[in-house]
Amino acid sequence: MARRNKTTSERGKFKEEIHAALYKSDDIRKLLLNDTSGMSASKIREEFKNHVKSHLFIDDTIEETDSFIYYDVTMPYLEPNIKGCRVIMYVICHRDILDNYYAEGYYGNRADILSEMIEDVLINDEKVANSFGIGELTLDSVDIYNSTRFYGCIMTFNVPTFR
Amino acid sequence: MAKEWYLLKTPHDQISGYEDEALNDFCEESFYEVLESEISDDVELCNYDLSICTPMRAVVQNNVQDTRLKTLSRAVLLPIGSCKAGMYIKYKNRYWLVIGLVDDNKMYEKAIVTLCNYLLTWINNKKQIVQRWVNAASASQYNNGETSTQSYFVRSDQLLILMPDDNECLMLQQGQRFIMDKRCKMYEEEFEGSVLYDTSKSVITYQLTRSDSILYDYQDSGHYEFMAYQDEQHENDGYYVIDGKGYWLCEKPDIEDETAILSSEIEFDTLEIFNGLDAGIFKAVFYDDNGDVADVSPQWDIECDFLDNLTVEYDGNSVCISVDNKELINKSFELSLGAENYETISVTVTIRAFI
Repeated sequence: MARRNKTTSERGKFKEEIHAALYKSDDIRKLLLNDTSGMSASKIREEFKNHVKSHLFIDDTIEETDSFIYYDVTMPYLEPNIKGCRVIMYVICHRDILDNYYAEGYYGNRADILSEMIEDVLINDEKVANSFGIGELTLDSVDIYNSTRFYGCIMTFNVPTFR
Repeated sequence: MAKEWYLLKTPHDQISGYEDEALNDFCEESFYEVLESEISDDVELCNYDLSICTPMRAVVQNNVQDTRLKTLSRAVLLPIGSCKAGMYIKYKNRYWLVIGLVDDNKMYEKAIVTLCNYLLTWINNKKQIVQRWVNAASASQYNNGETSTQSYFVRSDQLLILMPDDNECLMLQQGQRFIMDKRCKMYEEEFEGSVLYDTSKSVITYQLTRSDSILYDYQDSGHYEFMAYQDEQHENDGYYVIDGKGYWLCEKPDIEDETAILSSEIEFDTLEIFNGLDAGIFKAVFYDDNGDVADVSPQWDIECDFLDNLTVEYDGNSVCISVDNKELINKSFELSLGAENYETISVTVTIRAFI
């Protein structure tokens, strides 16, 4: 029996694209994991997975003084042939390490730098930007995330795709 | 009583007119005296598989013969009750098979023995190596060695094989094949101990076509005879080293499970490679007899129906495999490692999405 296309399958497919794209960025790995020399490939992947999660952030569930990326995929509208896919990404850093990171070509505090790096990976890399849905992935908004211990931004990306 | 008996050390009271009784009473002891004399030889009496060998003295007769065939048989005089048909007598570093019913004349027993000229080797139905010394004689004396069919010639020779009638020999099946070729010794000298198997040598093979298990069965003893017909060499006929000892066999022994020839292993970080990410690295490590790492060139093999979609790079003893195709996520492939004289090992590698 032929398998029908599923409306929700893009949630998983997009997450696989995003995770791999973020992992391949040396800059993001360095910011999240610091020095990885001497670590095996599997250890690096394991550590990376501890810092990048394909679900949303719940405050007070993290105790480490570290930087994290939390994201999820929603589908705000479903039309007969087209569906809208939205990636909501929390880019957050612990306040204790917010102001001690510098990287050439990037500006602001650690959370600002990390959000720029993510934009480079998901938007400025055409191959990656075109690997989602119909047309390119677009960055539609950047809001502030501000809580007791963590500070950062909420990046919202959109792309339509066939249903 | 013959005059010769008085030459033995007969007690004085036995030459008093009761010589017959004295002979009956003391003839065996007299034979023991013969065994201590110079006309006797040291021999060993052995059972069918040579696991029990008993040194003893015996008189070996018919040593000096006038015809070629007669030189291949002897009569051996032994103390009564020493041996039975189907046993071996080791005499002057050769094994002789006791054939014919052994009986005595109250003084000694006589065994007719025939020279064993080949150590026959085969694998029994329990996959064990069995070896027996046999007497092989031509049963096609003036055959030209070939039989013609319409378009080809096949080997044609028959041997009559005499061997013990123990269970292993009696259970030989019709069609059982053997290598019987003196050149095997020459080949082994060429191997110089470094070869663990070799099926490239030309050898002469025979197969059992007719057996006689009752003709020479004497109830409590006997020997076994069969006819072996020459056949064509098969692909697996050759030399195999099992537990450090070489055998010429017509059947590939099942040695991989029992004795790993040499061991190797595949070192890896994880048995998962991630789609679109860095390559998974798999390293071959070979060990020698002592368990030390050996420098051996690996032979990698990948078994799957999407090999063209994998990127495979070889770097020394390592193979690096990467993939960038979303369609292959959660699919697996077999990665096998082998090398000459090493057992082939394999691992299953799965392609995963990185999330």
